[in-house]
Amino acid sequence: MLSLILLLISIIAGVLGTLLGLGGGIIVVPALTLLFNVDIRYAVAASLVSIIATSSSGAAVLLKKNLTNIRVASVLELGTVAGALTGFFISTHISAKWLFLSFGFFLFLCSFLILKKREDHISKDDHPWSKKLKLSGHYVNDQGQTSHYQVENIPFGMISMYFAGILSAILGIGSGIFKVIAMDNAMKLPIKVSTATSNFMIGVTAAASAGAYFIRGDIRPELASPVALGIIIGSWLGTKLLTKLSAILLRKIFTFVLFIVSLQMIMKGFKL
Amino acid sequence: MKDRLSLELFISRFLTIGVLLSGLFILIGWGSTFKFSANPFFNFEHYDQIPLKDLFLFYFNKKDWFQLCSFLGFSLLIAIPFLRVLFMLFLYLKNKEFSLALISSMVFIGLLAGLVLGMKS
Repeated sequence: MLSLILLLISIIAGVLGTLLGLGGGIIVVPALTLLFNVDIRYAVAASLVSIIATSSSGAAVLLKKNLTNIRVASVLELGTVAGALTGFFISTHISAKWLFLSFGFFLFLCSFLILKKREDHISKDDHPWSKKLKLSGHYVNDQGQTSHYQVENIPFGMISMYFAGILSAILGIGSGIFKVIAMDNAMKLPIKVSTATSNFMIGVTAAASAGAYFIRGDIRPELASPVALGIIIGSWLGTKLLTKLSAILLRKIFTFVLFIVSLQMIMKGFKL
Repeated sequence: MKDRLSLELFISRFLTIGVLLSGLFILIGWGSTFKFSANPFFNFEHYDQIPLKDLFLFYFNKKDWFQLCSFLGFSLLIAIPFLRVLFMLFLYLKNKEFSLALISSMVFIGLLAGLVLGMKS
């Protein structure tokens, strides 16, 4: 029975993740730890595996829409993988208390970041690395016009991806929100391209630490199976609901829920 | 442009098939071991590290093929990004884009390093 409840929660996480452009980890980890009393290290490991499923499913759809900049992703993955390895190393040396507190503060920050309006920042300048590696690209904007964009500030983007990778490995999340902010604000990629490229990269980021957790034995089928299956089903449902639900209203409700859950995670961390 | 579209379509199909195949193995494994009344999360309230090889041997000796099926599903799911990066590496080499090939190879080595880290921790 508890497995079915977890499956249902994971489906909801998959739907919300797709509708709000987030991974399921932000819902799955608190659910496992607060509702089912699972140790946070198992919860993080189960969540990372589900993020690979979300990312791969989402990327498969977005690739067909020609929004993903695969070359930029290939470069930035160097930063996220390095960060994920660092994050895994850190996670083996910190206690559950600090994991709860870190996750709680991260959720608290996210509850404000999610509401932040994202506007397109299109750059006319190309970073020298972008010129050498031919990273600039084009996409079809909301008006149906093909728009060309350049890529700025790649070193800053790499450093941001490194820290996003650390968070991903420690907290069991995709860190998509930070990746999109870095690509949108610093590298000046169009918001749709940032979101699609972030989605493409999340799978690799998660795999870097998920592989480590898997070998260590932290990914247990009893936990990870309903989570992974639920996320896969939820992501598929989310793509069907994408045009039918108001994302703005969902964002506001989700922000409120995130805020409450962040406080609960922080309180649990202080109690440990 | 045509090359880019066919590449994106290929990767898209690869990712979809990978997720569905791994999902199928996970579903078979979980569905077969599912019990309505049991609390399957009781053992995970406290952290107890048991390496994958010990878990594998335990279920193998017990001939619990369904649990092993779940592990196979997770292995496939984790392997999807590994294979995707490897594919990109070969593509960059084929197109003689050696800088991007070098970056992709470093990413792949990083992914493998994760597995080694897991063994050593």
